[in-house]
Amino acid sequence: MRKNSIKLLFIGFLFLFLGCNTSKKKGVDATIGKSRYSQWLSYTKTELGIKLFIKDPDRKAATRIILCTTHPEQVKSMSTTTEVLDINNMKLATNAATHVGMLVSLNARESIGAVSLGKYLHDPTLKKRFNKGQLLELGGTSIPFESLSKKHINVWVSAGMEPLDQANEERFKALGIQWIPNYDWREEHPLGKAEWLLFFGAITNRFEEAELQFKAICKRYNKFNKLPKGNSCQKILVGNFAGDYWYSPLQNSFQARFFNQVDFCTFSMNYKGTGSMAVGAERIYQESEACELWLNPGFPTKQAILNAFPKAIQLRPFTKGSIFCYSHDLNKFWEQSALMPDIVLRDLIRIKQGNSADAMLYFYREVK
Amino acid sequence: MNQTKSHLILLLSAGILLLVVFLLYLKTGYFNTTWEHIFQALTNPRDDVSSTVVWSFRLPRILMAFLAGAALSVAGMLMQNLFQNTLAGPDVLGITSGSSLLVALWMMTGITALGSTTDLIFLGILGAMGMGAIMLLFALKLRSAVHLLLIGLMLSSFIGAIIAIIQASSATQDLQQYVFWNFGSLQRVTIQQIPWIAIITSLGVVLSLFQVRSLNAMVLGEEIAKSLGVSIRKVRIMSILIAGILTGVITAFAGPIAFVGLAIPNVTKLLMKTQNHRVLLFSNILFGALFLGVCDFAIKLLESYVAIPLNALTALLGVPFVSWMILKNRHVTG
Repeated sequence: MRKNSIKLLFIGFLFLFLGCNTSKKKGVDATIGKSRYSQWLSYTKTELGIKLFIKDPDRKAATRIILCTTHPEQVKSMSTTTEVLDINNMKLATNAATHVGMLVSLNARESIGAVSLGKYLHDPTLKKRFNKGQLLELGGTSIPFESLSKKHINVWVSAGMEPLDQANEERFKALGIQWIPNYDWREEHPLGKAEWLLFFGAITNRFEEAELQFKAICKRYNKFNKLPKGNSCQKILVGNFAGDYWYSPLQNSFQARFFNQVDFCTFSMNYKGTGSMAVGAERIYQESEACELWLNPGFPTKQAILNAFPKAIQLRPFTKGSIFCYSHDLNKFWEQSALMPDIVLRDLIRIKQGNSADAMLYFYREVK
Repeated sequence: MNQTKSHLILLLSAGILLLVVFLLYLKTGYFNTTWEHIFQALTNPRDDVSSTVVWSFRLPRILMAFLAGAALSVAGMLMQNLFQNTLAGPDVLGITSGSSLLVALWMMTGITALGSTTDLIFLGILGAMGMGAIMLLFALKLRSAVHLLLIGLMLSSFIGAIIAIIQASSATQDLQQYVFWNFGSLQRVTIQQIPWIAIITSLGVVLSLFQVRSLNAMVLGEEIAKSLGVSIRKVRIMSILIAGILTGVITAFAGPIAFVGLAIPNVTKLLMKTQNHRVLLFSNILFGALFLGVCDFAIKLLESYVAIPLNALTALLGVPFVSWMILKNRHVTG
């Protein structure tokens, strides 16, 4: 009996050890660096600097390897697949608010030379710089190569929604600008997204600071894992219509991770997938009958919801429940939420507990 | 069988099919509704699921599909007659873009003058008519139909550029609202809005009826039409006015719907084998309504399996069909 107990205890410890080890070792590979939560970014420290490994989510075999160094002249024998990024006098262009937020968090504002559109900035210091004409506005369509060169931009951090075509690649090369994709928006885990802070730490020579911040984020976020879970989740409505279809997050999507943590569930979370599912109006009407709460409709007021989708008035949470969204200050949400997943969770928990006065929430507000 | 009889049979068949689509549409959906439920919801609506589903979701959507299909087809017929070009249509000639421009301005600048619904209708119509008038000015200067179409496409791009500039400087929420509208959707319309749309569409149709004689004369060429006592100036102004009203009201409520105004008048001409605009007018109303009704019914049937945007389906169904019809009957239309 005692022997069996010891055996069981040993097996238990073994499982626990393997379990912990597996989660911590996720993505560890001597040849591709390590990551804790990110699916598409890994990194490793070398004598000459931080080596970044960026996997393309659409072409998983394709990995960019970038050595970020302050001593590019010392790089002698390097594999041909590794690119060297000189991080002295870094001046970068970025077309995503999340990137701006991460650079602000690392106090690397001076590294930013160009942003997508000035109107999407939240950080007051950057707004001032933009208004003084110190930041280049990239706009939404073509790449302003001449302006990039004039502003001495040496890196374009792209959200990587489309691969770089050959013509633009050659233009970037001719101007000495390195184009680096950032796939934080393809991450499924909130901490995977936050881990891209280390990417910015590496390219702005603030890796240690980024590591410290990321550890703190993980600690704060994981604290919520210890929250007691109820027996059944609270059914909520998430999303809104675009055209004839309502888009609602699937089981393994980024949004669903947050909702799972808080014991919120929506009908689409019964379906596997990382994106969202499209359903018709009647289904939404039926699903809404079991919901008191509607999250993320994408508009800050009920009138705005009705203007875009007049039939929202038929949905139960619109008339009899409550609606919450972060749309009253979208710039703040997009700049800061990637690094504050714990605050997003805290908001959701407070909404669930009914402790949802404006002063109690950071990103969310009740839609009235 | 004489032509009138065959026209009657075709129109009657289209009318019966329209009724079948209407009834099937009301019956089909995510909720399992019986004929009894539908009948009760229509005749004696209550505060229950069946009534809500019928009155809030199914009825306005299918009625809007019929109205939009009919209105855009009639507008296309008038455009093709006015420009004497089978490739003319409200979307090709930039009429829809004109409507989009003013709706975009309204949505993204927040200018409200008359109240939301009235603003939307007024601006949708005004934009469509404005673009129609501009196209007419070009039509008076240009003899070549191809040049005219090129101007239409260029003006559409020009308007697209203006809208892009407005988008770049608009607030995120306004931009989002415009993007949603621009997808094109029959779902957005409410049952309270349907009478407005129906009245304005009917007005366009009635005005078209008064134009039939002139439209028939225009087919023979402007010189002959003039010799028959037709005021060319009046026909042009009326055609643009009516096409503007019809395209504007539909675009304002459902967003831009492509292809219907180009395809259905051509299909109608091929099926009816006539240039009599009295027959063509009623045929366009029925075939246009039927086409968009069937498209939307297909979208609804497939919605559990695949999400198909309305504009994608109208093009998917329409382009091969029209291409085939035109190729098969090229000797008929010339």
